[in-house]
Amino acid sequence: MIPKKGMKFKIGDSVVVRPNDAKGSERIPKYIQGRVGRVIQCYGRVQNPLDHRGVYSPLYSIEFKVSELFDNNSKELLTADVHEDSLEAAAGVATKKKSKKKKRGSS
Amino acid sequence: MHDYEAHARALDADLEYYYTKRLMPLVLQLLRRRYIDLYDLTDKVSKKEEQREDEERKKKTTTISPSDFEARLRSLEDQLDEFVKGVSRLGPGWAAFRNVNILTNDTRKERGDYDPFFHVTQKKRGEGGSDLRTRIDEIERDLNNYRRILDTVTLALESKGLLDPKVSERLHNAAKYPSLLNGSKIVARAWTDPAFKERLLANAREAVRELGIPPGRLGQLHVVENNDSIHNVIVCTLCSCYPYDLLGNAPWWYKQDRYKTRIIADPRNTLEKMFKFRVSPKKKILVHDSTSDVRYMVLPERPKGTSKLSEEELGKLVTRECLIGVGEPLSPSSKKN
Repeated sequence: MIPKKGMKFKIGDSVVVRPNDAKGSERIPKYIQGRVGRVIQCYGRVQNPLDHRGVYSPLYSIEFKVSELFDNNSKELLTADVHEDSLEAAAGVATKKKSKKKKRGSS
Repeated sequence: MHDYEAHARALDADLEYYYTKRLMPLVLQLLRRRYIDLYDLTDKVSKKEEQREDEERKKKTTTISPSDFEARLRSLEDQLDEFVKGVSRLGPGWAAFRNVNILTNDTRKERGDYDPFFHVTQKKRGEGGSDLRTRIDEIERDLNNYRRILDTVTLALESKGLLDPKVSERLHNAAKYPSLLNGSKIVARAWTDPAFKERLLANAREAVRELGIPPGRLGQLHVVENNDSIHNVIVCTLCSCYPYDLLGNAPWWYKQDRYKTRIIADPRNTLEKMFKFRVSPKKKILVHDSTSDVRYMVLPERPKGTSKLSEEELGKLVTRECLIGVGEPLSPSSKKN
């Protein structure tokens, strides 16, 4: 899918998922909240009138390592789709919160 | 039919799913927005009851023996099918027609997807190791009761003028049940036509129209390709997002917490234990936890030894499981008729 204009993040960016709050979307699984991942897909704004009121902020596919999410030795990967409102650039948060999770060095 | 227990389990899971996750939240939504009132429901009960008793009496001519599990399970499966159709007839289709504001998103809120406080508890039948007969009894009783609720709500909506039986019937038939056949066509074309495959992976919504398949109303469609190094698996941990409009209803296990919680934490072993499916150690597994905005479908690898098969024959190798990534397409030798 073609990355859309006007999106804050680009493919390869390291991002951290904001915990569910009034500002973010409700549709974020608990196990990725506060976790760091990498943008692998930019969908742009998705029209989905049957499902939600109004238009949400742009949507991204974020890739995580299963081993980091669940603290095991799995070598597999997992993606989840998250809206821009619920994402922050990873660098700022990692230093502020002294996040235990290692930042991905890819970006 | 050889495994009665498995049939009973599947019936049980599907019945609870459609009752607690589809019908109940919808009724709650209708009540909260005051499209219908509780008293609208009470005065419809007796009328419907008489109708149903009449029908039952007619049917009673062919009685099934209580110990004939196979016949009872088959009859239950048919009834469940009717129930599911009835529930989906109450979905957002007619509401959009009548300017009634029913959103799938609200349904999810009502059933507690986002806030455990609103969580609708599912009944646990057959816990404590009750025998098959007791379980079938319980499923029969509950399905019957759930059907009465469904009838009552349908009747209440009709008498309020919100639901026009003819319109809902028409919407229902016009939509033609989407099925696995759509998936087979898409995959077979992608295997034989590289240009189509490219368009499919870039923008599936538009590409499937080329095959005369409507992509459906919900969000985007994203097709992910399996290859030598990546094996894709689909799950929706928050609810059970699935390209319903394209492929029909999701399999029963897809909606169960057992699948959802295990596949994300330990994909490889879960595939092996739940589906007896071993992914080559050379491949990385990529699990997609989807939301309603983007619906996923897996494009499996073309099985070996199929170079001489026609597109139609290739389509027959496609299974529901391989489109979710919990299995492989059939091989030409093992294909079912």
